[in-house]
Formats: sequence, structure tokens, C-alpha cells
Amino acid sequence: MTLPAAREEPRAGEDPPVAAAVSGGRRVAGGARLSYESTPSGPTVLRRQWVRPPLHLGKTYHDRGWALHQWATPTAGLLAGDSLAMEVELGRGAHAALLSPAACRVHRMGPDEVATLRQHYRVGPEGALEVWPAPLVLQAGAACVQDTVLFVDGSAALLWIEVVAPGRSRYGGGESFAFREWKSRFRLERDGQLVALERFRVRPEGGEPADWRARFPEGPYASLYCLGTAPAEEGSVVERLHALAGEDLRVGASPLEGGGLGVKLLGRDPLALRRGIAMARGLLRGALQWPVLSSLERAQTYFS
Amino acid sequence: MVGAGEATAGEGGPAAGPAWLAGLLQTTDPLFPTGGYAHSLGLEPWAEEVDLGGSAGLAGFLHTQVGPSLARVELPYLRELCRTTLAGEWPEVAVLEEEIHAWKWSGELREASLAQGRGRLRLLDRLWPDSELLRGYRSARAEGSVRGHHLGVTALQAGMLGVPSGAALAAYAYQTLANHAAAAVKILRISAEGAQVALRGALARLEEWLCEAAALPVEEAGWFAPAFDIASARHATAFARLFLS
Repeated sequence: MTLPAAREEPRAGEDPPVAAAVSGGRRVAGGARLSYESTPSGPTVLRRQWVRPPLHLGKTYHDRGWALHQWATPTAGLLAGDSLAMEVELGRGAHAALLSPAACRVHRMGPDEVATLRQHYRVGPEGALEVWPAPLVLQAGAACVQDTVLFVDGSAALLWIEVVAPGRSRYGGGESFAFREWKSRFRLERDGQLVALERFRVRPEGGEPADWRARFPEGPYASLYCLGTAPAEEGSVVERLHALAGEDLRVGASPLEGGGLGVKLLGRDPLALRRGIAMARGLLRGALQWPVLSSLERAQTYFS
Repeated sequence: MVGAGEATAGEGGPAAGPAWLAGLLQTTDPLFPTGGYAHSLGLEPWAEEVDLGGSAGLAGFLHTQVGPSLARVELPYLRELCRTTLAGEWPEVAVLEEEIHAWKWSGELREASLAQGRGRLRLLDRLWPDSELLRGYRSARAEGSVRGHHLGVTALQAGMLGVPSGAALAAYAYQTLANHAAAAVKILRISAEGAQVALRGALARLEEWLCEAAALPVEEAGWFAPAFDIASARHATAFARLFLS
């Protein structure tokens, strides 16, 4: 079947997702703006796209009506002053999965400099979105500002995964919590109602975050949000998620206001967390009654 | 009709001082039955998660978790709630309570906050039934625009009693720290005296935490404690537990 071609952006008269005019020629301001639509014949298509380095977007794959996309930052990662923005919109009935199989590293930078990662997603009625990236790695001396906003229609479904490593586990003798600052704002709204808000600034120099470091001083962290599960089943899903925990993996799941689940995981090391995410993701996809997308599973090589 | 102390608009002149002080002491006392005794506010699961031990463990928990979370998130929200409640700005109060509801990630801690809010509101209703502020809050709650979180009702209480914002924040911080100390006696290998030693150590930093909160705009208020959140969430499915949260 021939799918409608995606149209190149940017559109005349519109700004790209981030201000392109970043001072200092060595800084990079880029990202992607993607718009998905369902088609009468079934499969979801990427109707509009605009992509700019340091982000690279692979070609669209389709699997059981879903549109699948890989993104990557082909540069060394995010350097001082770099900014990366994702703006993704799913129209009515559109089903899309976005993944990055390679970690995004944030490098050492000067005391007043930061790298910025902004993500903005909107999922329309009866849409379904999975975002499944490899970790964001906060290297020694790095400072990163994240701003994530998700608007999800009440009839839509979402599986959001975010993984953060507090350093390079295999670098030298190990690098952990040597970054300068990680500032994050996460806002999840369903039908205009705020269901999750995370906002914090972590500065490891003062011993933060003490609880994470007390439990696993070098391990990575993951946060998952899942909307669209049947409320009656959420209790048993929580119990099964909690049963995944062991000495090397801690898992906590909690219901969100109005349905859905938030899940947090901490691993003793990257391998333990990877396994935990894979199992938690499988449980949540099952609760969402989403089909297994073999193309998606194969493409996410970081977790395989 | 205005309730006792309400006309002081929260700042309290010399004559109003004793009036708000008596009300503040009564509502801060553990005898004031808001149901706080039933909640460890995350201490019980955390103690199990990391084997918190005795007095030193409690002190560390108060210094690295409870105090900083008060300074970074709860007290800035309480300050804004005190301001907006006193002005009767119920839509703004509703927005702040919605945010509180959303950043309380653990369902148990969210429910604990609502339960304590309900308990405190019930008592305020009974003890100061003529307060206009209370009527305003109740009306907003009946419309469903405010939820009745403990922070929200604490701000309402401060406005009703004419308690200055600074004193209201200090009292709330004390109450939170003391609640953990009281729960610790039932959970940890710690005597009542040992809990007081840990509490005293934390209270020595109260001024520091209040200053930190005062400098933080509510738009930037937030706290990150993933391992604590995980433990709190797991408490809901724990095989055995003493406390509701």
C-alpha cells in the first residue's frame, strides 16, 4: 500500500519549535515538529514534519496501523547552550510510537550554561501514543533544563517513559551524581485537568537527591505514566508492578486522579533498570490492550 | 459576622496577638483531632525500605527529606494559599489545590492530605461557625472548585484566626516534623526522648527552611524524592502496616 507522503516543514511564516537564533555560532537549537493523522483506510501517517539538528528522525515504519519513528541525536549529545524541542500532535484516532535507541548525553558546561530539552505532546480523541527513549545521561559538570507538557484527550491512551542516568556508569572509575544541575518540569493534563505535576531542581553538590542516593548511589531512574487503562484492573496491575521489585530494582506504582497510573523505578545499575522497564512496559501495554508491535520491539535496541 | 481574629487580616496587631496565639496553639496541638495520628506520611514505608534505625535515622530523615520538602514545596504553597485565601480569591486557591493534588504523586499521601483537610475543616466548622472565610471556602468546596487539601484548610484556618502568614508557616512546619517524630516512636527503635532529640535538631533548622521557602516563588516550588515516592506507593500494597500512609 502506498502511504501519503509527509510534507516537509517549516511552514512559511511560522517559527520553528525553538528559537533558531541562538547566540554563539557553536550552539545548536533544533528538534522536531510532527503531526500524525489517521487515514480512512486505517494506518496512521505522518502528515507534517519539521526536523532540525541536533535531532535526526528516521523514516516512518508502520505496524498494525501504528506509525513508528526513531529519533536520535547524531551529535555527541547536548553541549552548553544547546536546545532540543519536540512538538508532537496526534489527531483523532492516530496511533504513534516514538523511540530513541541511543542515549542522549548532556556534557560538561560552564557554570552559567545549560542545555535545554523541551517536549510538548498533544494526543487527540481516541489516539494512542507511546514515547520510549533511551536514557538521558547527565554527565559530570552538566546542567540540563527539561520542560515536558502532555495534553491527552479523555478517550486517548498514553504510555510515557523517561529514563535518566546520573552519569556514565562505565566511565573511568564510574561517574555518578557529578552533574551540576538537573531542573525539570513535567505536566500531564487529561481533558484539561491536571493529573500529574513534577517540578524540581536537583543539585547533587549538596547531597541531593538523598533518598535516591541512599538506595542506589549509582543507579538510574525511570518514570512512566500510563493513561487509558481500565480502572477496574488498575489495582491488580499495581500489585503485579510491585511484584517486579527485588534487591536490585525498586518499583512503585500509584493511581492517578481519574484513572491511569504513575510508575517510578530505580535500579542498582543500568541493566537492572532496563530489565525492570521492559517488564513494567509489558504489563502496562497489556493493561492498555495494545497489540505487540514487533517492529517497535526490534527497533528499540537499547532495551533488547 | 466575622470570626475571632479574622478582622486582623492575618497580620495581627498587639491586641490581636493573644487571640490568634491561643487559636494557633489549640489547632496545632496533637489534641486537635484531625486524624494525623493515623498517618506516618511516608515514614513507615521509608523506615522499612532503608532500615532507618533509631534516633539518628529519624534525625537524618527529618534533615534530608521532611525539612527540605517543606522548604521547597509545601511552605511556598502554604504561603500562597494564605495570601489568596485571606483575599477570598477562590479561583486562585482552586488552582493551587489542583497543583497540590497533582504533585502528591503517591495516592496514599494524596488521600492522607485530603483526609486531614476534611478533619480540620470539620472542626473549624464546629468551633468557629460564624467565619465568613470558612463560608467562602465551604462554598468553593461545594462547587467542587477546591478540594480541601490539608495545606488549603491550614491556610483557611490561619485566615480565620488572624494568624500572620509567617507564624502559620512555622506552625505547619512544626506540626509536620512533630507528626513524623510521633509516628517514629511506634515504628523505629527509638524512645520518646530520642524522638524529641531528633525533633529538636530539626527545629534548629526551622528558620533556615522558612527563609528558603520565603525566597522561592510558588511557580518554582517542587521536590524530587523518587525512592521515597516508590516506598510510599508500595505501602498501599504492603502485607502489614501500622499507619494509613
